[in-house]
Amino acid sequence: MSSMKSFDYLEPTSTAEVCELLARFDDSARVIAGGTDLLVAMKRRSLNPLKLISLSKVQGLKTIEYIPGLGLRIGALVSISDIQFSPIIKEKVPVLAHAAAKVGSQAIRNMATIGGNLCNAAPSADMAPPLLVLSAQALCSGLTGDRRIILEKFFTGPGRTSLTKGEFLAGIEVPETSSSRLCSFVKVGRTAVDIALVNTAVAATFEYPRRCLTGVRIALGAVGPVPFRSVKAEVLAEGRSIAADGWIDETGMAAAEEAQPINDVRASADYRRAMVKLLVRDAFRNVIAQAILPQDER
Amino acid sequence: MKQQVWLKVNGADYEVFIEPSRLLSEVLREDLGFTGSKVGCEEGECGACTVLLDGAPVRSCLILAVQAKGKAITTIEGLASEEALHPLQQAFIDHFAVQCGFCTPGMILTAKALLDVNPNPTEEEIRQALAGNLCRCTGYIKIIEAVLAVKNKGKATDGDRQG
Repeated sequence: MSSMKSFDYLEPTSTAEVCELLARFDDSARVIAGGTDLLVAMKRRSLNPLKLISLSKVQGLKTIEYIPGLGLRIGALVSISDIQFSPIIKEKVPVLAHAAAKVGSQAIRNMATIGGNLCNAAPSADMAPPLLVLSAQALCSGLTGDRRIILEKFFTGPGRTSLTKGEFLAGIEVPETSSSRLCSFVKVGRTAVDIALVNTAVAATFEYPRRCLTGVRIALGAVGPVPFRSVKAEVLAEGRSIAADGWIDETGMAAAEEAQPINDVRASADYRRAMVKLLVRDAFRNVIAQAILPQDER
Repeated sequence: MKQQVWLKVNGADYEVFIEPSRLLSEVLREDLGFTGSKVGCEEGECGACTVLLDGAPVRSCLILAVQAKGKAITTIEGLASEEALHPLQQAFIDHFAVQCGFCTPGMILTAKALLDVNPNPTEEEIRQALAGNLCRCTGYIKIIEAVLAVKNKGKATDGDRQG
């Protein structure tokens, strides 16, 4: 691996300054957050920015806020390990803590950030599937102000996002969900600290006394150009009873058919397709296991 | 363009005059002489370059030295006191957990960080914590035994240096 090409390291202290620098330097600048993806790319020389724009001195990007009625707002610079161990996240959206715990190794998680994971926009980004099924929105700051993008529209291709010139991701908002909204994240890798061969998240509301799942959302990662919702599989699982389970395999198969995996150094397309079915099955089983029935019906 | 950067390593302050593209691993090893941290894969996978930043394990090969300004860096050199090795260092020797020694500084620092927050980990928790540190020699069993031995003695934080 060659050493990195020279660059200037800039430390703006406000959002406006960040946007101004990004607009001025455009393609020759990159934002650096934790650096755990960026520096690897720069060492391989697949990215050679002339300017690195650090966000570390900008206020307000490192907090996790719960706003009653609205939901959770997570700053882009919140580290993956902070998400993994955050009491408020474990209380309100534990699936995000579970997913965070699966990103790389602890040493990577201590530097990596949620903003970086999403903006690096790898199809295998572990934080993407749970945020997709939770209907998260990307909070973007640009020259003309802030805007929100539903996360489904944030990823436009491998390594590409819909951020425009002069814009950066300032945070993520996860809408308030009820306690009957159940979620699961499942990942498979070759080792405990690997990039996902396949990752998936499922969210569903458990309706009682009908004892079925509604509002089903299924997201898949590492099996297409972007993390995406498997809409056809969602339809099959919608309204299904937790007492029957034949539909789980059908749903898994539909998700596997919707996936577009590729052969790469980590796994074959066939293996990934087979894993999609199993991971979706496991995610639904986890969701059903979380469904709380009254004492006398267990 | 070189800039003046102050780094706090093992409790002491060091001033370096460096390009922003210098990695923390390079500056520690080449500018400051802390060659205990090794450089293996150069992409954050192997763990040989692990140091502690404010007590948390990080990959010094994936951190720019300028990113580490104002934080407390601990390298393997910071563990032993004047009188004795850190209990983890002694346990690694006693349990034959060192062969070539290349993974060892990273392993010990990662284990130290675990015991600092969780003085009584299960074997599974130790394995999970060390999952990001690769060893090509030992097969890991002796390393796990060494960490278990320190936990069982309950002397995990003896001999710690500040910083």
